[in-house]
Amino acid sequence: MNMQCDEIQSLFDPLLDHHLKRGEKSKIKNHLSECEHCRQVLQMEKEIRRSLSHLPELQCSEELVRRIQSKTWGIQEKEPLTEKIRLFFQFRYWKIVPVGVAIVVVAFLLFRNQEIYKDQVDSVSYTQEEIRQAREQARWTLAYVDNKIDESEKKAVEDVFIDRLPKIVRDCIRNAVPIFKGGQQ
Amino acid sequence: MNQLTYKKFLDKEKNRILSYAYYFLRNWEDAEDVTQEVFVKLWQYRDKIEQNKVTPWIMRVAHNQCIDLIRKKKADKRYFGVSLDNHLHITSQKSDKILNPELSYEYSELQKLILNALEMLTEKTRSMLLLHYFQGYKYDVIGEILNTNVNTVKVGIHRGKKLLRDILKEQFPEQIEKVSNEHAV
Repeated sequence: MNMQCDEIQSLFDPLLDHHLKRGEKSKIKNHLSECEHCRQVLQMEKEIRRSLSHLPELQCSEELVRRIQSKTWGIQEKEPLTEKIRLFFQFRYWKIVPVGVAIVVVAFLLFRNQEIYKDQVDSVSYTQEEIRQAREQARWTLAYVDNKIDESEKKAVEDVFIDRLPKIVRDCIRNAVPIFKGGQQ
Repeated sequence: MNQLTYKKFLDKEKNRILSYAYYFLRNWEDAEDVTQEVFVKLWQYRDKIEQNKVTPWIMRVAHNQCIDLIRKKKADKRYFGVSLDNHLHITSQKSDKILNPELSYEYSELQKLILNALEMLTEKTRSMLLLHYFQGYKYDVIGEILNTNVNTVKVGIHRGKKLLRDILKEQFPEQIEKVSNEHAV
């Protein structure tokens, strides 16, 4: 084996990969016709390539595939916190969430205001004595104005009474007024 | 990568990974462990890997797992004196075809010699030869898998084949002579 053999053997890879430059093929051919050693090397090179490229592809057992699947699907159940956060922000209906929240808030506020108003009305309470006095006052007042003013003025006074007094007092007045004057007495 | 894509990829690539790991490690159980680990990692990192780079990625993981396993076994051997791997390998050859696929698949005489010779090469050279000739990867992809540049891969493969030839001639001269004669005829 000499210097030329080294050079020729370095061309075996390009030769077998079909990447030779112009003139190199004839150079190899000429050398091989004279060098038994390089012929053997080239033959061995071909055999090694063929043997390696034709090694059988081994088959995974069913049991191994099952093991892989159980491990991978199992990991899916134990996703890390970062993964959970990422999936949370990938929620596709995010756009309608603010609208839904707004509707809920408005409904809540309306309901709450209604409750407050109801409480306020209910909280207006009078003692029996106040009711009696109001009824007495109303009776005297109506009796007084009934004789002093005409129908239109009486209506106006009644309206004032109705507007100013709470419903319970108005009821008291109605109860105290005689039936022929529109009351229930 | 969703579950369906993952399953398809598993079906397509599982045998390739298993075969590479087996021919690299020459131990069936270790090859199965590596295959399982590769696909578990693929599932864990499925959203971080670019779709067109999945194949080099899993090959790199497979290679790294093989190297880790070899280092671990070397450390075990150093501490405990006996390689459990060898023990398993011998018993599997004797008792169970499932544990030793070389008893179930058809190999030529030269392929058996080459597989034995490959074990005498360095891990990097062995992986380059297997990736290039058995798996059919080009130099640049091998560089990506092994995290090295293309020229290093080219030189590594060239030297690897030379070493392989030398080992075959030195270790198995009679068999090589016989094989050469068969092919020469």
